Amino acid sequence: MADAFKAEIEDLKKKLSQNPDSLAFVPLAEVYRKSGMYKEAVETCKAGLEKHPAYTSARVVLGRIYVEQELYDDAAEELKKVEAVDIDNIMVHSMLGNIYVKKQMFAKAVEQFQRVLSLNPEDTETQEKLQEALSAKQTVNTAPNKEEKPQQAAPAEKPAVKEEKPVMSDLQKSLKVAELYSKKEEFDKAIEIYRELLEKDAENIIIQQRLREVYDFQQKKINKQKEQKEKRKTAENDKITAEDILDVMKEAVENDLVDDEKSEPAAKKEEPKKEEAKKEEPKKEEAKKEEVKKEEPKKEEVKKEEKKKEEEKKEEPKKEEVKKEEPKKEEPKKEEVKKETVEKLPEIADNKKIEIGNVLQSLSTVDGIVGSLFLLRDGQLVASVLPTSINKSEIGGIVASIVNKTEQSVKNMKQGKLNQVVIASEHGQLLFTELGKGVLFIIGDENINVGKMGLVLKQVKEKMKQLI
Amino acid sequence: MDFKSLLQKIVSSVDGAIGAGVIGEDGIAIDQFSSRSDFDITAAGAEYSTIISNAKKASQSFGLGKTNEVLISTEKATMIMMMVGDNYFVTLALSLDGNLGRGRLELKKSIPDLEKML
Repeated sequence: MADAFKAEIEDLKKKLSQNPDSLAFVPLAEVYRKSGMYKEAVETCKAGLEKHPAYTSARVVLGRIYVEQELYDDAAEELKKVEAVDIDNIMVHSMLGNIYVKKQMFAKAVEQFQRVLSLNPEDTETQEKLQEALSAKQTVNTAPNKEEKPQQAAPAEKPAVKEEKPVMSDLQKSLKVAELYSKKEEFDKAIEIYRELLEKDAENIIIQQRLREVYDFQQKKINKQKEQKEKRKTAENDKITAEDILDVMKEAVENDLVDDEKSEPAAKKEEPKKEEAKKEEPKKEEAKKEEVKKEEPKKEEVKKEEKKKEEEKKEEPKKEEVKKEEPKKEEPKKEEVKKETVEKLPEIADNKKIEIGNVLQSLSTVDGIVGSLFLLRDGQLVASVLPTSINKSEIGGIVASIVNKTEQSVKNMKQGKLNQVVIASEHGQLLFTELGKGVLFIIGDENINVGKMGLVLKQVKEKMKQLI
Repeated sequence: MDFKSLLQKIVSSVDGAIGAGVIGEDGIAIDQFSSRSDFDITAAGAEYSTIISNAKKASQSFGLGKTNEVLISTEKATMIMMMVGDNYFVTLALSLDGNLGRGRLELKKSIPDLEKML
């Protein structure tokens, strides 16, 4: 059997020797497994995992090799490592379920099969396995003390005892820290941790999901802050100041004078009325002055509040400096990372945002383009031209997550900098391209004119580069 | 015709083609053919599958339905990925001056044959 795979093994071995840090150890281990060369398969996998400990696919392969050798404890140990960081991995739950059945630990097998079905309810094969495991569990329950005792020899029970007191892995610790940062709304720190974790294990769905969630939370927070700012601005604009009242009064007096000049003949008839009005005027002026007096303390209060806020803002950096000086176990590193992130992301002035928005509008002239947006790497939306069906508050996080993950994969493939990505789907296309510190993202429908889009995109990129 | 012969045919008929491969969505390559020793599609299988899974998620997020194709251009190469059924995809890597249009055409043409083989 090994002969059939000989050429493939030689080819993969050659590739691995040319680039020992590559991930070619996984297909090589798989070929060894298929050809029944289990010893070589295990050795190859273990050697590769020493260099890439977070590469979960390799652990699954190693688990499969152990299963075929009927080394169920070893297989379970590897698969549990994957389960700890990737709770939604169907293959791992299914394999663990099968292992527990073999070990006659039916309660645990039921648990694993149930997890598979919660992720894929239509899996008929697992439905059958679950039924079998359930009936086996009931049978074992009738015979006390048999349940959960593996059939293997006594030493095999030792790891099971260890499993009851799980030690938190580095990954779990990092996930916990990131979760805490997220809860404290320190999203930059959480994002940084998730990104570091994804660098080690780009495939991890849990980390990817959590990163997406943090981006969403961050975007929502930014939107809330913007809304609050706008509300404050409109409230301030609505406040009538003493100057406003004086201006209105001046205008009114001037208008009265102009009206008087225009309607002199008519005025003569109305002189008595005017005289009455004149008598009324001092009263009115007094009333207005009183109003102004009433408004003035309010204005002073607003000014005082503004001064307070300014002073608080000035003091904030000082407070942060003090915080930095406080000795903490993990925070100093993260603080440095945050600084870098802040430096990387430039602030774009409001007028430039409007200009970027205008440039995006020009993309709408291309047939089939339904929307476009420009965002910074942290998911912050700079400008967008989007249909109402797309939720602006959520899109930034989604797009940033897609872009970052694709970039990471290209980086891992050692293919240089990512320029452009086009995703063609049943009902449309997505295109994103790197522009300075940001990303230009275009959404098109199925009728999109790809050729024209390419031409317009070139012009748009040039204009955008000048603006950013 | 087997996988390797088909992939070899694609690479040899497209100007600037570096390599081609058939990869499962779990990241494990079924077969590959490369015209350059420094370009290993098998080793990069996991990364390709990550890109495909991201593309699928992106399409879902925007309600664009099933993903058919992903095209990536980088500093060093252009990569075309086309879905073969639901769980596999065929990929072709081209040099920067490679014939992208021909590459897409050859991959499209190969899909019915690949579907029969899988």
